[in-house]
Amino acid sequence: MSIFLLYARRLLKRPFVLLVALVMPIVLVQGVILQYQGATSLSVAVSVPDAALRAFVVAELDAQGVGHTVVEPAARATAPGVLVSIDGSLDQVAGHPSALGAAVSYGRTNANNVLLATRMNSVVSTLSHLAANSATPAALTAAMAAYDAASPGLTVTTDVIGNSNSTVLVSSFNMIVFVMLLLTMSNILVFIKDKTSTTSQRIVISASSKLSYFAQLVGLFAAIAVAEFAVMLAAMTWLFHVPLGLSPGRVALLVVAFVLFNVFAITLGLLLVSRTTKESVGRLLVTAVTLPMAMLGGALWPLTIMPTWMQNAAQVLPTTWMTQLNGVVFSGFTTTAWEVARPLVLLVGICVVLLGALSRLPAERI
Amino acid sequence: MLAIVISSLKRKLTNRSVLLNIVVMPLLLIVILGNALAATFSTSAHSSSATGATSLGVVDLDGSPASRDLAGFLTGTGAFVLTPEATPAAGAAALAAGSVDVLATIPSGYGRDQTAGGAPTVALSAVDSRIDQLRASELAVDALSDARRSSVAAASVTAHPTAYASGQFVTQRTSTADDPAAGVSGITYYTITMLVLILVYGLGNTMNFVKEEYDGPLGDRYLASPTGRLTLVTAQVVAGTLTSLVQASVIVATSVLVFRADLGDRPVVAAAIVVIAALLFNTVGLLLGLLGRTRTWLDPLVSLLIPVMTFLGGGFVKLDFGGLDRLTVNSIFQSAFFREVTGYATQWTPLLACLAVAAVALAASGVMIKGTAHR
Repeated sequence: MSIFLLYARRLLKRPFVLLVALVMPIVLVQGVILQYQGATSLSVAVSVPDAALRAFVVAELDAQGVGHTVVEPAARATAPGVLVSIDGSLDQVAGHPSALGAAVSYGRTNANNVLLATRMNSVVSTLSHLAANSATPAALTAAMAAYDAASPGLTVTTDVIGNSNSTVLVSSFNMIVFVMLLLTMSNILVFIKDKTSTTSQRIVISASSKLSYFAQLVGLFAAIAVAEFAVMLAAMTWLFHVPLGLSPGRVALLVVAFVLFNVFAITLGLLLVSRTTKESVGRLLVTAVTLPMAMLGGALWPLTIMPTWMQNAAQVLPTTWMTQLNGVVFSGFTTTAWEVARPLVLLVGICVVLLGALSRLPAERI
Repeated sequence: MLAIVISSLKRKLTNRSVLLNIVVMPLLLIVILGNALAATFSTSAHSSSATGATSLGVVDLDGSPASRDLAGFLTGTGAFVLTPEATPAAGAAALAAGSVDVLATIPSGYGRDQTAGGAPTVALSAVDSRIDQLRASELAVDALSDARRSSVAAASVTAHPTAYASGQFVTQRTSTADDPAAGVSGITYYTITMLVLILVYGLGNTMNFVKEEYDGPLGDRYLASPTGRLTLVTAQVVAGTLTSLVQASVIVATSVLVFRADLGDRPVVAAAIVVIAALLFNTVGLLLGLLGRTRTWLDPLVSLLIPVMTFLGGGFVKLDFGGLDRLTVNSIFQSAFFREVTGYATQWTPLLACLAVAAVALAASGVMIKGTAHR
């Protein structure tokens, strides 16, 4: 237990640890939530100088819960997303729908823009139809009011299936995979210093066995993983108010997975320590291992957006196993036992292999 | 001054691990990021096809002419590509598997309700990651109501209303939106962000180098020499800037020649942006290095701030953090490069402001540099 406590004190004294363990996850999750909110809100740019016609278009958007920005005619070229522009005035278009001077346009071709443009095309078509049937501006005003009051011919309901917070949760916990890997790998610099000063060698010799030394170190990083998970849980619950939507059993399963992942990270880190005595090389190794593993493993973005060859190559990475487990657990769909057990089995396997390799190291290389 | 510059350059450029870290790593990241995230830079991102149509699974539990009319209307909009699903369970499975984007369920009795003059229900569902597409689909499906409402409204103002017909007002315009990075390829995007990252790392490198050079007897010997203080600090900035320029040249040459990255048609402007960035970061690194001799917390803070600023500036993942990215120094130079690549006019004001900051940092360093005996 003395080795556990010694390194616990030393690691917790490093400001870097507190920054990465506490501040970084919260900043990253906040970023994920902001990004999600920004990406999922719908908005249309409206450039209609005539107040009455603009009110008609805006009322339709408000009724559908779609945001809007009013754009001056001179600024139409720089309007983002879908733009509705109508140049005609109420007086001009009454009885003369061709005077509308209307257009619905968008820059990037994507599903949301096409769908929004479809709807706005319908709104402008409606205005054209009402204008064609209104002989005077007063009649057109009355027709627009009648349109607003008319009951819809169709009721459309929407429903999210599975876990309604799945995207935020998966992205956030994938970020925690990255944070945990970064934190643990950064801490191996402490062990490089101890190796060069023969501190580790002396501790190993004085410990009851090499196994006891490694067991206490692994235990420490397992405890750090549990603490990190608890911080994340607390932040999600009380700071961001995003319910996990998991049973206690599933939460326990995730804790076990994160513990195993952190054990993998520290054993890999200690093996890297055995390869060098220079801190500068250690820093290089930390970056060279952490970033590609996090990127290819889907910790920073979904695996599915990568090319197939990259996704196949990533299947051997423990980061991939963790992000796949997050995806399965937080999806909200019924999953098979093997989908959940597979990452755990693989993590146990890699930890056993790496611990075996560590135990064969001579004391002077630890 | 030349002797100090050459001596400093030799010490920096002969360190293999430093060179590996700041040249090979960015190149590796450009390859990984540029390939991994290439799909997010295509113009048809987050859509079912190149035309942007949404893949809509349809469970028709009514099987009436009215429900078939609805399906025909949805197909006719061009916004949907319809896939029939036999049962709600099959539809849900298709949603979960991602083979359809949105599922529409037309309930039994849809046609009867419509004939009775009611407002029959259509239920749309999707997974959480497509919640925006679900809402946009709701709007598009709702367009079906417009014909009926418009016909009712027209009948209220004229005895002989014309038939409702959907017009074709949709056009696609050339986007000149505020985001100058819109439209660039993945490789180009990451060449620029990684290039800026290594230029920012010039700050950390110079900071650490100056801290080592001017801490203790080595610094005392420098300061005891007849060389003026301003010359001493200028030499460090010149050496650091030249090192940054060597790194930047390797990144740019490899990215352009091997990965076919596009850095615009005006190499002089691109080079000017690189030089200004290198000058800024190396002078600020000099100042922080001098301060860091007595303020040990500066080193970990800068080490953390560099990747955090890169992240917030969209350097690792192209995220929109709203106003947060404006707090990062990366965005000044990234934006300048993106504007150059996409043909926007160069905004020199922020770049000239960076030069002014560099001059102030250099002057401040010249004033505050002192030996150990004076600290």
